[in-house]
Amino acid sequence: MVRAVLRRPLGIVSASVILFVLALAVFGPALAPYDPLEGDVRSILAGPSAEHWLGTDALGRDVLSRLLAGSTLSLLSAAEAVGIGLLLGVIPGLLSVYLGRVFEWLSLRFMDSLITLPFLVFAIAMTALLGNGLHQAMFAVGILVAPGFYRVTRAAALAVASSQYVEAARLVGASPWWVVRTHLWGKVAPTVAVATANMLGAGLVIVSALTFLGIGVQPPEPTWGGMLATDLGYLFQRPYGPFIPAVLIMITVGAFNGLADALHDATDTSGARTRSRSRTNTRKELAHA
Amino acid sequence: MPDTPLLQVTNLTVTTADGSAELVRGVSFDLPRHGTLGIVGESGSGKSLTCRSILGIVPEGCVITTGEIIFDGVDVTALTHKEWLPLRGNRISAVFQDPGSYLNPSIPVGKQLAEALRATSSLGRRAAAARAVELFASMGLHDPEFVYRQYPFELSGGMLQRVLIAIALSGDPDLLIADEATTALDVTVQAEVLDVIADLRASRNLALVLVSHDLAVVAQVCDTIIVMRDGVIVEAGATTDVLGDPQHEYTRLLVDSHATYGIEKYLAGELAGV
Amino acid sequence: MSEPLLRVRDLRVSLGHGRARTEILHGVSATVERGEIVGLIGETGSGKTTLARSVLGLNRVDSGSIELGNTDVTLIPPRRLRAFRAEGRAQYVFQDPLQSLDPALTAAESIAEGLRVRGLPAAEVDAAVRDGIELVGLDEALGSRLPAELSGGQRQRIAIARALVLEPDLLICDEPVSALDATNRIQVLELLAGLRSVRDLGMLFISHDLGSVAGITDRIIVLYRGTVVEEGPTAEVLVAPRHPYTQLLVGSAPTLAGEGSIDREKRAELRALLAAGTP
Repeated sequence: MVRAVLRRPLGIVSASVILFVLALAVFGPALAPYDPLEGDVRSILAGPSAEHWLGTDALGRDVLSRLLAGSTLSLLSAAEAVGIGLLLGVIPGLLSVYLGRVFEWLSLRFMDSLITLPFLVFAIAMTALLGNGLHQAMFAVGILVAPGFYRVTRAAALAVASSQYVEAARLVGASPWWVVRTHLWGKVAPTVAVATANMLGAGLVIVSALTFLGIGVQPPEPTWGGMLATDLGYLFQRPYGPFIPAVLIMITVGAFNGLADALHDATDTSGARTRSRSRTNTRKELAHA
Repeated sequence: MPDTPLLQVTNLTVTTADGSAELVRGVSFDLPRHGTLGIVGESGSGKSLTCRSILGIVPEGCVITTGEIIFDGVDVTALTHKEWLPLRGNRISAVFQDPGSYLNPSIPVGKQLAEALRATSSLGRRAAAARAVELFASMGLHDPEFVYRQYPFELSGGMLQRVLIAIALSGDPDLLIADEATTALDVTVQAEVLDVIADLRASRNLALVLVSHDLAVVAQVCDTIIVMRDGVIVEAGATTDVLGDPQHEYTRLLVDSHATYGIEKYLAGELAGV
Repeated sequence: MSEPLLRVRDLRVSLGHGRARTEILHGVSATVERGEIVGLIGETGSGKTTLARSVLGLNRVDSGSIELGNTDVTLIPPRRLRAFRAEGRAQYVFQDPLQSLDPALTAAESIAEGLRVRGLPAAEVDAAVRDGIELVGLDEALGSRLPAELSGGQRQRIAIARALVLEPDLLICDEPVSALDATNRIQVLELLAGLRSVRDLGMLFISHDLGSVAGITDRIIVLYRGTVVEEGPTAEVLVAPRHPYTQLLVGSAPTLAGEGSIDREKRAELRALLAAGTP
């Protein structure tokens, strides 16, 4: 899967951007030239300069350092939400195909009801319930993205479970567990990978939205969304201000979506939208023409 | 001129787009007006590709490199998409193997036929609906009004195929191409559909190209036959000649296998039943 | 007289749920002996596949019995079905190998599956797979290919090998050659006919293609709308069919000589007779 993705230009670009942002998140805080929480009162709302590559904000804090510090939090939170969603979605999705009608019905209805809940409102409600922290908010988001994983996994599992080769396997005495291991997993994994990449992008948007609204993180903790919010307040003095975190959010989310697309193209065996067809493919199709 | 063949295929060659493989090579045959031609071969022989070339619907990834296909004086290989429109459906028409996939599953079949009729003629809505029912009746479908209202999933394979034949004939074409049209049908239903085709041939003076991997089906319907293998014609001629005295080894293989794996060995001389 | 390999007695099977539940088989009886190939013919919807699937325990039955050797398949509780299938006494060959073989597994892996499920050691499994590939007349090297890399005939032979390595007593083939070309069809039919003597197994050969049935079966059972309307030695059923449906079926099949063996009027007569509801 990985090799197939890296063979595509979209895959290479997306993976590079993500790795870059990841590097920022991991190494950034160590490399940050200034303490993101400490402000230099002498230079407030300064433009980009040799000392402050991206300038300073209203409290004299170095924007670059804040950005780097914020990246860790933003990415980690998105990953947290997606991780919870994966766990709560994939496993029930697989089980719903094999554990009989009752479980199937219950899990379907449960997931259906989760889908009806609006993300932000639910997240805010959760923080009211569990405390105002980003982890609580992302836990809530994780619960809400679980149905997406559930459906994707379930659909892939159903398609395989109803196939003739699975029936053939049952006819030689294979157990459901054997079927999952031998026939199901290799086909479900790519779909789940695509969903994960997409959800990471979505998760990042949600984190940014929540922190923009000031939920989950108390200032002066830096986050991309939070910076965006405060920068908007100083639009006149520093008009380019909001663009910096905004652009960073955009390209990261775009990279995740791009990765999802590349993964999908790389693993899509239905051949419906492959643009470059190999010679053998055409030959085989025509053999049945 | 009534004597010139309706369809003249000369030296048709179809290759893959990158030119790496020749899928149909130097195929030539004639089809007289009101004639019947059978094309026999297995998958990969190029028989379906030949048909698609005649219809101007060569799949993406293939290209006609040489040869001419002259239909009633016009070389169709040189036609543009626009120039094809008055031809396809009106003068040349086709039915394919899996009837279900050629119909819109969410529209009753009668409406689909009526739509085809209105596209190829100036009939109004009511007139087209009435004509559709008439056509269904002429296909041997009992209770044509009932069939008109049915959705594709509610009809059997044989009935669907007859609906498609009706649609194919709605423009009153001169040539009908049936590509494995009866392959997916039960033997008894196949017999009915072949009867319908034979009747239509007689009543409408239709020319027919019937493609099948089943030699016996072709033997039943066609006066002349060409046998294709790996993109070339290995044998051609009058059906009775070719089947009675096959020259090429592949044809002989097909004919001989009928001796072991055909019901001929049990029916030699006898009529079943009465 | 040895016991028949398979004895189906008065089988009734219904499919569907609730209001859509319909009886497909109305009291079907049939037998298959060792070393015999029995053809099961009938139109689409007659219940051939339902019968085949019931023999393998894939359907619950309403009433009747299915005796495979001395085991009544209908009496096996669901929990024990898997163990029964792992014994491999009855095996199934599906119509379309493109669907019945996992596209992600190599030919050898597909063949080996049943053996590995049993827990046999790898060396034994490999040896059995090699024997299986040889038995169906294929080159050992094809084992490492994926189904997409094989021809239709090769694929179907792999599917047959998969069924054979478990050494079944009964082989059920559901339209095994319908999806194949003329040349492949002949090869597979020859292979199946030959198995009779190689393994002394019994075979239920389901097909709507009278030609194949005429070629390799010893006896024919004709199924029409869920009931057996005729059965007997192949030659008898094809030369002198008694039931109107069999007459219609045999008479409709086109021959190389041209028409089917009965003319249109006769066919229409038979259809009318059937529509009126003959016993």
